Amino acid sequence: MVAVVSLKDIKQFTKQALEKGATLQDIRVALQEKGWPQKVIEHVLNTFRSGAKPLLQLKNVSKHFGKEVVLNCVTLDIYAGEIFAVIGVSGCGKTTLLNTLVGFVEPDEGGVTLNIDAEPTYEVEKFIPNPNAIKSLFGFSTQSPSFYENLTVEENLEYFASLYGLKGEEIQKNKNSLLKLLGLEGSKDKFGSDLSRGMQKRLDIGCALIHNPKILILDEPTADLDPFLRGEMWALVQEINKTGTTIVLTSHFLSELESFCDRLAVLYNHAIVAIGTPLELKKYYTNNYEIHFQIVSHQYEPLLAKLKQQKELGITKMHIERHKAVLYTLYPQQTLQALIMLINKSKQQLLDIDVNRPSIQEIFETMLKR
Amino acid sequence: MSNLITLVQKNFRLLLRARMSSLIVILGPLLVILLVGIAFNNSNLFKVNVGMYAPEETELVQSFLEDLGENHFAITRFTSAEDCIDAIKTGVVHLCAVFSDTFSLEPHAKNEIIFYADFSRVNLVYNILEATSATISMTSSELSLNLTTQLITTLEEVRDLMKAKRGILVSMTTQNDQLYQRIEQVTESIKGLDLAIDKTLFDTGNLSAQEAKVDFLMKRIDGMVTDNLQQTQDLVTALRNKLGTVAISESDKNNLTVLLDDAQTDLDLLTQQTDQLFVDTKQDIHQLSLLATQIISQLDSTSSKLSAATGAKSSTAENLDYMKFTIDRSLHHIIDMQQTINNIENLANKVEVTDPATIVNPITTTVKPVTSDKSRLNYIFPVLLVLIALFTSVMLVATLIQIEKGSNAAFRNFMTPVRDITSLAAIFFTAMIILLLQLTVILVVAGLFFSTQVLFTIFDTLTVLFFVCALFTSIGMVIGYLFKSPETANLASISVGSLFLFLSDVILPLETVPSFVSSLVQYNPFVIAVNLLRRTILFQAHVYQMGIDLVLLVVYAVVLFLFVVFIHYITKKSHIIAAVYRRKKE
Repeated sequence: MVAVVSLKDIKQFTKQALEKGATLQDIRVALQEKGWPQKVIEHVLNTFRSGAKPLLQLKNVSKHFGKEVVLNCVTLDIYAGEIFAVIGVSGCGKTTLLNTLVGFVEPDEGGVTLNIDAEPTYEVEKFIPNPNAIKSLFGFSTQSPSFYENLTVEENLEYFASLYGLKGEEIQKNKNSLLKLLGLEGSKDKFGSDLSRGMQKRLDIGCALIHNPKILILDEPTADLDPFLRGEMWALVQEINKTGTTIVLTSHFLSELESFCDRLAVLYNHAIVAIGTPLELKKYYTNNYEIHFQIVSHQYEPLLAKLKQQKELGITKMHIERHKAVLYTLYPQQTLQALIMLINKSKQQLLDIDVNRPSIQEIFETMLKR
Repeated sequence: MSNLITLVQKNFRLLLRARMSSLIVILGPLLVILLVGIAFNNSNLFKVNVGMYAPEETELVQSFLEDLGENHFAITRFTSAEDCIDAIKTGVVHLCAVFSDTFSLEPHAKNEIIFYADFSRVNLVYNILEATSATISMTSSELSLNLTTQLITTLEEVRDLMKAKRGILVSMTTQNDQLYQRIEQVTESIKGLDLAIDKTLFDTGNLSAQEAKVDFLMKRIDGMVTDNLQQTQDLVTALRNKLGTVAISESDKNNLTVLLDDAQTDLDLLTQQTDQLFVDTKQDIHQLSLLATQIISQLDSTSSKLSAATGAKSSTAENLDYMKFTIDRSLHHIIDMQQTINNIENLANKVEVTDPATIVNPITTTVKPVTSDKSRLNYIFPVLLVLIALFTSVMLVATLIQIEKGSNAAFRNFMTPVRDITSLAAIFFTAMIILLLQLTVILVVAGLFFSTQVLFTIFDTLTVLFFVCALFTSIGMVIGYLFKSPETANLASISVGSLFLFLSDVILPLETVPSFVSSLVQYNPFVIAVNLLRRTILFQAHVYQMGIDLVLLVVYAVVLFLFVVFIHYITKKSHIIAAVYRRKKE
């Protein structure tokens, strides 16, 4: 029976715990054990995050491969329990950034700091040499699945669990819970090579999670997956995050990230150009709203031309996207009214209409243009 | 330790689940030993085609060919030496035997067999030459044996004959000696002969004067005798006359008369006799004179003859000296001959080896195996084991590492808190277990089914093989970590293996390579490994008897493993980074 508590109570509890030296992750686990909703927990933790020590810190990290700059003075903080996404165009250095986080790539300049518990357990100015103690803190799922295709799902999980030093019962417990979490119970005896792409990706994440890492790094977890599998994958990521695992990920599917990522960092030209929650980014980079609509005839040009003439609607941009039209406006309510009126007038049949803030995709594009 | 077991388990699962790997790991050794066992589990050389060309198929040639045929050699006859040699080039025959023009057991026959062989088939040519030569040599030996038997028999006869006739020589020596002495006596006698004649002693010139003197003396004597006789007559007459006048008795007178008559008679007789004597004497003297003349003549003649005889004596003496010298020389020669014969006989007696077979083959070159089994498999078994160990180790480990490096799981493995040395040990032990399993299977199958002698010292052999495999596995690990792609790693594995193979005595004897290469080759791990296994398998040596070779092998293995650790340390990250980014690009 979950006790009825107020948000104030949770904040109070969190504050006291922080004062006693607990980490956000400890608090998250404690709150989860009390049975409070994850959303509420994260909301509260975000409130306190500014005062908390980041779990991972990158300070002025630069990396070159030969003469090519891959990371240019990257500085960012990642807090315990959050889902942190790094977005950017291909080749901007996302994977290198993740590899630098786990110490796999040595930065040429700058440093990475990992803070576990109250005190930093690990800090080097330039490079994490990947000592074994640190390795167990990370789970890394690369863009391409990283497991043995000739081992079964179960064997892969057991193998990596064993390498992380887990023993018999713990291995079984973690394996079973992961199989359930990943939806691979029915496929546990299948070879890695016999799994579908989505299942392979899930198994890969399973291998990365088998040792209960504090931080899960996901490099393009939905690359090559169809929309359905992508949806499943993001749901899975959220499920994992609910267990208290800090998740750092990269993805090209920016629009899908904003729904569940706590914060985003935009990597452009090998440098971080923006960091914040999706909403913060949207607010910061645009005041526009998006109106997506679809009519049966798909004859959008006359409608759009008429709307364009109405300068008072504040329409900044419009375009036709496959079978629908998209409008960007400063005044969504007036624009929506004007649009519905025009559709009725022209005796078109409206199929669908949607009003949104611009997606991260658009924000990203805007940033790139700037 | 648990990580090590997990890694090894994983490696085995992966290997066993890869069908080709399973086949190689499980069936590979069985197949190898089966094929090799069937192929080499004998001591014969089958299906060797020998081409031959003989200008004239003599009995001797036939004999050789029959022997070759009896020894399973297929004989192909050619009409010319060129055809026969061409047949080698085309692979129709393995060897071409060209017999000389007059190949027979006849005086002045030039018996020569020239073998033409394709030395590019180094692995076969020596075997064929050896086998064919052995047969030819056997046939030659038989012929030589026959001829030598005849020779020895004749020699025996000669020796017996010499022994029998040695008495003649002794007698010849004695007779010769006697002859010499006789001749010496004759020589002495002849030399002692004084054939000188002093004609002055005869004074033949005064002989007439003497004759006249004799005649004169005779006449004087005759005169004197006549005178005396006259005087005597006168005396008698006077006496007679006086008697008549002498007064003496009658008787006396008568007596005197009788005496006088007797004296007269005697005187008459004397006168008569004297006359006769003188006549006779004269005649005698005349005769004597004649004789003297004759004697002088004879003397002259004798003198001449004696002169001639003196000359003859000198020449005879010379001849006798020469004869003596010759006899002496002959004697010496006879003695020499006797000594020679003695020597010959002594030498002949000293010849203890009178067995023709022993003379034909004074050193019997029967190569007896020091091992009890004559199967070729035994001899090639150490090499075979090391070859399998070498190529399987190097290629298996290099492939394992390449698979691991190129595996999707490489990055995840890297991210696990497993120590580098554990990962290396896992690969090392995986390979070692597989190799030792393979080699044990080969050893057991070879021992049980092909009757090789490996089972006698199987534990020592396996111990040596452990170190051999450890060394080659380390080499494979160096290659695996040093090279970036499976292709280059495989090439390097094959190249290293081939290098070891070529710098060993498997293909060409080490004795045929330059000394500096030979001295280097003795440090070749392959050579060391083969030598060690030869000692355990063929000579049943134990591990503790291996000495420096085994130590060297262990040192190699340790040094190489340390090198592997070093190589892994400096290359691991770059390999994984390359793999991660390569996969990302893909």
